[in-house]
Amino acid sequence: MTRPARLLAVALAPLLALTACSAAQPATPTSSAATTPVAGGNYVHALEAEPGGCLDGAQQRFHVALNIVRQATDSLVDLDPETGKIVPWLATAWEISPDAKTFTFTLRDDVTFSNGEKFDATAVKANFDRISALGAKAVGAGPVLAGYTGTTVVDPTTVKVDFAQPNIQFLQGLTAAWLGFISPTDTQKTADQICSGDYSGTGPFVIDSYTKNDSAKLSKRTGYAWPSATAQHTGEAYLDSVTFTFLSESGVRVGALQSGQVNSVSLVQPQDEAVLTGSGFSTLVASPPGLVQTWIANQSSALGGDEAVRKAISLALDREALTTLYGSGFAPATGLLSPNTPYFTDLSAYITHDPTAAAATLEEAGWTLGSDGIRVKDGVRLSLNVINVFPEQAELLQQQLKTVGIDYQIRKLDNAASSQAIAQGDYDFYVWNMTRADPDVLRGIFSSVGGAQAYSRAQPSAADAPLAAQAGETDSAKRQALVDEASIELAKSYVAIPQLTRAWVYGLGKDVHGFAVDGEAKILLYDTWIG
Amino acid sequence: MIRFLFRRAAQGAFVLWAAFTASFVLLFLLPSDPVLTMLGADGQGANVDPVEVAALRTEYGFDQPVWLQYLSRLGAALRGDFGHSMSTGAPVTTEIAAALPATGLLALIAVCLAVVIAAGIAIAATSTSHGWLRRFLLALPPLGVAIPTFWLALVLLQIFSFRLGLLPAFGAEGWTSLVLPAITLALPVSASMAQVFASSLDATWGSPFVQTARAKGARRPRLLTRHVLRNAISPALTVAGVTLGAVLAGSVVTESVYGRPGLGRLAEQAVAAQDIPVVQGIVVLAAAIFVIANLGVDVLQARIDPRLLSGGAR
Repeated sequence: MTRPARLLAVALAPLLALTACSAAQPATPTSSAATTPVAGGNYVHALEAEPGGCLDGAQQRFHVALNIVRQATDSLVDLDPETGKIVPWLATAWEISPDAKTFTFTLRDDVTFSNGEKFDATAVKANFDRISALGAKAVGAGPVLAGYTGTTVVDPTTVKVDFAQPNIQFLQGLTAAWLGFISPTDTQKTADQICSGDYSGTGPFVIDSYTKNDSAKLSKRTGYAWPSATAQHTGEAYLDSVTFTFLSESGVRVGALQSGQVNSVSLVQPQDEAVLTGSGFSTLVASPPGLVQTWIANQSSALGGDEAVRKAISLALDREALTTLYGSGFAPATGLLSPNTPYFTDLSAYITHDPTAAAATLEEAGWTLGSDGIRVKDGVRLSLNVINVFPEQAELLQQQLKTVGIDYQIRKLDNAASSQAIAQGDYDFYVWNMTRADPDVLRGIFSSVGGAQAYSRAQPSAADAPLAAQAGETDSAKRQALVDEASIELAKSYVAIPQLTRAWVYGLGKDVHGFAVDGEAKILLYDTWIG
Repeated sequence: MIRFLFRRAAQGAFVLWAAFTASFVLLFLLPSDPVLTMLGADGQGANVDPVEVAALRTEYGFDQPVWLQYLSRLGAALRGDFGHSMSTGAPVTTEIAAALPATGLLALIAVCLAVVIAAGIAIAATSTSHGWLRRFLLALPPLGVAIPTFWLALVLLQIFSFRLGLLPAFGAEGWTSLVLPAITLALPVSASMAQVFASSLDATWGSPFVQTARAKGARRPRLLTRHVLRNAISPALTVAGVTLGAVLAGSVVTESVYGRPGLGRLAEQAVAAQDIPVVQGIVVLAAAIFVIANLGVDVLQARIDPRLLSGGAR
């Protein structure tokens, strides 16, 4: 749908321009002066997709669904997007055993679920046990609870969670919406029932209804008094109700925002950003933490396993030029993790644009130019089989790599075909990103140990040891050193080629205040007010 | 009449079976694995434990031989059970029942609107004595057919919702949310109907019995209502039956642009996620609607023109 959408944007440009002009005329500095929050109002936010038919955080890692779940459920701890520090939420304090296998939490005593049940140690245990029992269906929360052996209720406000192996990423993983708590009664419901949004959380809003392909309607939780330490206020949310609607056409989202039919929208496209800001609307540019857009080499494939090829790709990429495809917030990557991710390592030294050096590297490795401008070695054409989840880059990447004699084959794959190709290892490189505010995301993708190396099909390397060690390191300075060591190993062998840091641009109505995102760049409407 | 109906019903049953079988074959010929697709529903691929994947495969019956899966699905489908959606786990019949009313209402309004527009254009064009007006009106249908639904939807939104603020841009609440989607669906459909109806009217006006009636002194309005329409409507009715398919297909784009729930969006997502049970349910439902609509058209035509029943030439 992106192609027709783009064509249409061109076709509609004059109309849009007209709209922009007329909207700009009043030029009133309306409510920007208003600073005292006003309670009340029915808020509408347009998300860019249907949340995949499921509002169970544990079963989701799709950010659209998690954006809704985040409003209705709270987490044990929160991640401060400003400082990258873990801060209290439903847990007031926590303790990690030196081997990083046992986590003990002290819980708030005044928290209830919207169905009246009390949030206590038993509720925590019921939730973790449920997610563990979900197995593979828990695509979001499952990996955070990897190696979970059980939860012990010490007393109503103290709970102990045990793992079979060191699992330091658990603490950060707890901050995300996929580990938001639902009432103990709800944990007994089937996975499908919970998908339908039929559960009670402790969050500032309550899910009233979810109609697939139409909307999710939430209302304010009366008596809410336990926001995260990152919140700007205490007590109940300001908004009376929130409706999430699902508009997959970017032009429709922006039109709906400009004509006042929605208060805010997700995923503003580059061509619409200027239109919005030029007509008095504001935008919020959020940088999702985690793995940046990265070329992940399939180390078990012939070309992905060839270090000269990998190095040449990295040198041939003109990352600055790639940013022109996108709007605000996109920039050439400076590391494998985006700079706002805790334990970020600067890898700029390995991320340079030098086509001459790229050609020389290939020449040296025996890849010689063929008559069609594509290099050949031992009868094999340097033709890359890439699965790129960012199809908009394909033509530009093809041009950039062609200049050094690499052929980039454009593959158009839908979700089903892409999943299948990955499962079969039918790719040399996988270009992807993963939102996760913890460096353990690297271990999941690049370690050759354990079962989680599907994307890189990693061979044993010098990165394995530090990747394993950081997962159990409770001292943050030591953990930083281990993450640095692993990142440099991955970067200098080019098994991971960082490309761009990315951003999500939200469009906000003129009277919207306090619209924020959490540590994983999910929407937070708790502090939001209209006025 | 009974034999005629029986024959048509048997044909309809065959069409339904063929639709079920064809959709099954197509979906199973796809190289991708529905279980992996389900686990990576956000398009980020699958990175899961093979043992758990195998367990899920058993749960959904994908470990059985294909022919056995086909027979058990066909058997269940005959009892009205299309299994459970792989993305949401809800019964397919529930999913479809939830989506059907929204699309049904929209399609009904769109078809009625299309018939009115088509009849208006065709009758006006063939009745007018102004050559320029006739040419103008007859130029509209080809234009209507050529307009992409997607483009039409966005232009309508831009004008009537974003600029004039008369109608909502999305949602499914209240009659106002139906106006733009109904027009979007109706215009292309009305165009093909108008084309067929206009040429059929032209042919009928020129036929000998009309000249006879005219010679007997019948005036134009009476000629139109008593003689011409009755004879000219048959081809247009056939087209109307077929257009239901076009309306269902158009609902995929229309519902997506206007953010409306319905069968079109359900179908789009089910295909993308390779949700086999849901796709099959929708395909069979669409075939059933098609069969019933055409049966209805046949019966109606037989009422209007009894010669059809005797199998004689028209």
